[in-house]
Amino acid sequence: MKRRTLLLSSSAIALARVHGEELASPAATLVDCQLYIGDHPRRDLPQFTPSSWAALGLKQGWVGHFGAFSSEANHQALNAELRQRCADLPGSVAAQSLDLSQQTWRRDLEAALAATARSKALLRLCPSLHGYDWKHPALGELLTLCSQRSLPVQVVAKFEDARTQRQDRPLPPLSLREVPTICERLPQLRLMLLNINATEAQVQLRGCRNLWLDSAMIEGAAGLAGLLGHWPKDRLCLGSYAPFFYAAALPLKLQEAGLPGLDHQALAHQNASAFLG
Amino acid sequence: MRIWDLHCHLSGVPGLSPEERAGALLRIADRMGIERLCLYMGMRWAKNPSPQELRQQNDEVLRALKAHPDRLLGFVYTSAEHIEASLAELERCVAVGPMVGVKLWVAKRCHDPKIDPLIHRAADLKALIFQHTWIKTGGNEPGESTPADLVALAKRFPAVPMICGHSGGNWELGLQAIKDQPNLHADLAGSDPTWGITETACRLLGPGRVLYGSDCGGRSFASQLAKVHGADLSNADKELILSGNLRRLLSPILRAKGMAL
Ligand SMILES: [Zn+2]
Repeated sequence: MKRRTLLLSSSAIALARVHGEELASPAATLVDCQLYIGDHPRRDLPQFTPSSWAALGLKQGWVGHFGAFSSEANHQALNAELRQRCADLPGSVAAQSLDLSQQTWRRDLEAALAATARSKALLRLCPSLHGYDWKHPALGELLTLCSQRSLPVQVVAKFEDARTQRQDRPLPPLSLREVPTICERLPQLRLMLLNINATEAQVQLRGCRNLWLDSAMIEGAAGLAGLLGHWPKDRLCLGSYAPFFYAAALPLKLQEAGLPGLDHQALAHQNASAFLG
Repeated sequence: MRIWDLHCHLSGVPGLSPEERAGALLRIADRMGIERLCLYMGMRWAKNPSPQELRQQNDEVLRALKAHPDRLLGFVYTSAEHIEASLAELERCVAVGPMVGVKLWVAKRCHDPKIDPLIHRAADLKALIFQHTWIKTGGNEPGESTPADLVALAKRFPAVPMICGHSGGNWELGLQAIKDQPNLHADLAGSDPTWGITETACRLLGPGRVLYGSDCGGRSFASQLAKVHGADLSNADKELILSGNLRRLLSPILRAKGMAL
């Protein structure tokens, strides 16, 4: 597969002139909660390198492995590769994967935690790609464990617009119906759903207090500011879903939101830091 | 870099009137450095609008244009289901009024030659023609055009530039479908910012046939601008996509109307 370097043009970071005035360019204070390395199952995408990482101006990025999308992945090997690649990316946090439909998941979990600094342990699950959902007993067991051990968990809720899915290789979404019940049952759990849209947040997830969301699929004019009219201000984080999505959307969405200083800081990095613990 | 947005709406934007909504849209556009917005369709949409609904939606856009004539460019909403009424709207809003383009949505597929009188008159007026297109995995609306439908129309009017709305949504298929029809241009708006759309459009069509648009208020300006700002392209190509191509396509009608370029 051809390798490209992720291009993050300077115009994306410090872009806009409004009537001749240069807008303030965001300093390296942003935390991107949803990044990936590895080969995407459907697309030939650019790869992060330390220089592209620096060009994005991130203070921190949480990096998963596209290989984890596969139902046949060896997660122990994948996580080892991920940790090694993250060691070359200053500021990165490995979002390690598990497949709870595999018999080996408990062993994979222990290996992932044993190899990770306590302050940077993070799990990222893709239940719908691995053929299970919130009702799977192993997910209940894992979330209880994460709640007890104060271990943050990201769950990818969807992967692509349903209208553009390839029928021969679909990437199905995860039902959200059980999420409010889980949040209520495990009030100490730190759970972040990735790729939620604004309607899902306001309708299906309304009232879920201990639930964080990322910004990758929040759309609409000044959509992040719009969502914060209905969603707790300390429960929304920036996530790009790069390189499947253009990484440049992340600082641009923050700029478009036009939030007052404290809310801006919360969204830029504070909420993410609180989630990671 | 100058930015003109090809694809904006009054729906999904806060405000009780067209004037309020246009003001809200422009305040957000200002944060992103966007100079001018093309605006079409009203505050409440109809997939198969009656002649009366077409008039009402166009009236709302006319009110927005009146409030911000220096920033907004209007496209008249028409329907191939109502050719006579649409021709009347074209006269009212473009020939007599301030609008500069034509918007066709999902009432009837555009490959049907029934639409031709509308295209003839729009071309006479030098109005830029924008046709929504999608290729949906779950199936299109009955009246929803695909890029292939637009190619059929564009072949009947090879000298008339037309925009392929959303690049077909599923852009990997849509861009392939239109690449060999030189009077068709790709609108980048209104899909997730999946990496590669802009690079692929430039490779298949050339940077002179690719246009930035947002589909705001349904989409964020940011996610759609990222398709251009984050693309692996030269600054010269990005300038064409962000405003140069749209300004070139609109220049005949803007000049004829004495409007600023
Ligand atoms: Zn639209």
